[in-house]
Amino acid sequence: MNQIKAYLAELRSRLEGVDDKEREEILAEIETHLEEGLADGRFQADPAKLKQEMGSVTELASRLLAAKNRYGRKAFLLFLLSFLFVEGSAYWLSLLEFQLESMPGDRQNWWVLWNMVVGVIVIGQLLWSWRKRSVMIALWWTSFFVSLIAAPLLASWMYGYPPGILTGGMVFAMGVLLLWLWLAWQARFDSLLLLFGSLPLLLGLLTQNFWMDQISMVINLRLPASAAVVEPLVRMLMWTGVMASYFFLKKRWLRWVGIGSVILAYLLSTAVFFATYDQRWLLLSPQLIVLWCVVVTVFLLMGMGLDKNLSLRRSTL
Amino acid sequence: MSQLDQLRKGSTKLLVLDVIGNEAKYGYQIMRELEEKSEGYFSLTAASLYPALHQLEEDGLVNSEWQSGQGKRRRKYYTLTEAGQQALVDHLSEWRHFFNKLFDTLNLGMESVS
Repeated sequence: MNQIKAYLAELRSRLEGVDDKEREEILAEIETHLEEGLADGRFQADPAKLKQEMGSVTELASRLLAAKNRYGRKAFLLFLLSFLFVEGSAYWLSLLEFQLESMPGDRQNWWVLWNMVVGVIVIGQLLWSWRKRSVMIALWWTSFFVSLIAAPLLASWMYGYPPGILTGGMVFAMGVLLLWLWLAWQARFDSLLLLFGSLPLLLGLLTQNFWMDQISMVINLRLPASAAVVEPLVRMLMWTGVMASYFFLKKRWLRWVGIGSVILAYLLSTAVFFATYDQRWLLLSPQLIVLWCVVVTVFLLMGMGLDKNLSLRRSTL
Repeated sequence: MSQLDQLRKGSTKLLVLDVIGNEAKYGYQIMRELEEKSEGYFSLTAASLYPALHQLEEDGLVNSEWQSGQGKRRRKYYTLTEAGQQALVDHLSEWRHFFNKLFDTLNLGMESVS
């Protein structure tokens, strides 16, 4: 009996990526199976037979995670709407900068207030996903935060700017980083979930200079409002494409080719944006070539290597 | 894993669809019937069977429903959908074709399979 309890407890802990209701149903089904086996006397006398009958918990959990539907419209919409809100906030932020002069009140207060609203909503969603024990959503949002912290640090290192991070910020950064590492460890049994959940971090690091410079460029060069609108819109399209590829394309190679193509298209269009408005930027600068090589390599690896185990499991079901 | 093991593993979907057949069956029952029918040759673990059942359900080939079985025990019963019945016919035909071609190529004849 203790072995059965331990088996179920371990299975529960490994199914954290599945929502509560679905997980309890799976556990109930496996528990029924174990009870049937006990009633038949299959593994009462010989505990080793329990493993022979059930297979390893790791195998069962990872295969169940692979089999469960994570391509639903609901999951897609949940991700998309929340991310469009965050990305949209950058869009409004750019517009706000143009309109600030005609707005009442102190502009600094508007900036701080708006960022606080966005922050509270994003942290709220992170806490909600944490409570729902959804590793995928929690990992995604933690990745987003880590990228927000890591990108300026990377920019400081690349351009020799002083980091200018206060002690409180460092403590927060370390906390989020530890949370990210813990979530990544939780998701280690599902390579697809791990990679998808880490995408904001990956892209945040790759495009940190685009994102940071884009806002300052729009502000400093006093570009027309149309220019300020284009880049955030393209970025929204990019995230929509990434999520649609992940949630709706079932073939492994197609999924990662889809995600990679969307991200490359985004990088290219952003580079065109910079080259159009800022003569310092060249479309084929060494920096961009390196960036694109990294992106292509990462997605080829994802498509052909890292995701292979999951695909093999899927194909043998 | 040997090539034969891979082939056996690749046949899981077909075997599960076939065992469910025209009757509602639960996981433990499917496992035992498959074992009995194949005289122990195709013996699935729960780690293979349940993900396969869930995948079949995701693909719309089986439906599931919780029902009370013997005593107070509740079991999750699986039945083939129309698409599942068609998939069973298609898979059988594919496998038959595969073995016919394989044995024809090897000049061994394949009366017993067809």
